[in-house]
Amino acid sequence: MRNALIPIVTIVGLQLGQLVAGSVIVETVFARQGIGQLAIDAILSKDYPVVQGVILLTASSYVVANLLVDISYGFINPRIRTS
Amino acid sequence: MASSTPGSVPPSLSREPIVSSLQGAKRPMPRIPSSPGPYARAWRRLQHDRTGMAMLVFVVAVALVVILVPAVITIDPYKQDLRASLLPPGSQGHLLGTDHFGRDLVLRMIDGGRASLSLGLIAVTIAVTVGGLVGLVAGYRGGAADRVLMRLIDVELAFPGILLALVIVTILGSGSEKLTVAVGIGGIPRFARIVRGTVLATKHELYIEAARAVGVPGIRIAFVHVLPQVLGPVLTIATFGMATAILAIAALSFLGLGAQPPAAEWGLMLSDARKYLRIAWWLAVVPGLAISIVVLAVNLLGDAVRDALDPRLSSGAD
Repeated sequence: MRNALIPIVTIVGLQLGQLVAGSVIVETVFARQGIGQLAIDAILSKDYPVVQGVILLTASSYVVANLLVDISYGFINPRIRTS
Repeated sequence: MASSTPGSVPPSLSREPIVSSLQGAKRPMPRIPSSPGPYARAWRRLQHDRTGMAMLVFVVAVALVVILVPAVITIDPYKQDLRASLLPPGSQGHLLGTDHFGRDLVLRMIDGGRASLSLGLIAVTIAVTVGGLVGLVAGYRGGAADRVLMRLIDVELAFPGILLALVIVTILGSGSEKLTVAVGIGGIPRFARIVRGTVLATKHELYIEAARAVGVPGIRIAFVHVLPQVLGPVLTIATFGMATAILAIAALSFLGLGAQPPAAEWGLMLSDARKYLRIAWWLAVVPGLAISIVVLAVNLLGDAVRDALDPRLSSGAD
């Protein structure tokens, strides 16, 4: 179980980015009010500060998520911690 | 004694000349059969891959249709006929029906397909060229150039896929050619990483050292001796990248950031059709199906190309 966890955790971290990016499309399709819809509206009305904010938020959450993934390696397999 | 046995032929003392230079010139050299190059072998493996060949034929056929049909017969995907709007598929003169302006869906699919496929190809070309150069310089030069370039690539990787394209579209403005550039830039990190990795592995090969020893200039080594090694992995990634690019362009056009309304583009047609989903399902189904099938075909082709170029990876036969 623990050994199988490493690749899964890696993929989870990478998928998170896809998820956030996918929300942009999904929110448009189903007309949900969310951060994706906000980004699209801001782009179409050339509201640059809002676009910057959305991108900063999602990109940093993506980076933090992948940092957590990297840290979780140490808990899953203590041997990784030393290297 | 053995030599005095009657009937035995005494060994001839006249020896063959060891260096028979004059006679040797006439004797044809044994021909070593030249082995086909690695790419010829990969092509042969691809030909045996039934799924791969089927997908290759399919993709080429789609490309030929969308390129040749507008070239052979003059089509007008913008011709409106409001009396014949929202006709179902199979109507008189409209094989796939018409949209809300009475424009023929077949013609729009062909025109849109040309846009989707060519923009996808251009996006991948941008990504391969820039990513390849960055990877080559970073891998081959090493040192500070490597560190700076790869940090920049890492920064780009911090933005998840479509979001990066969104940022670039925001900066450049919407429109299909700007969107293509955006999707192309989004594809750079993958190529840069792959090329850098392969270059690093190749750089210390003996033949590179030999080339350096005889005084081949660095640029020539990088482009003539190292670059061909990179071609295999890049070809594989480029095929997958093509599928991703078509999908990303369709997705962003769907959001209204790519091709602008009168134009025919699969993603845009899907977006327009959303409003008519309840009364004219074919307007959404046809472009949606086209995007899915083409992306699936290109992905399967990418699988086949990868298996053909690196048979060790293939799980099944061969």
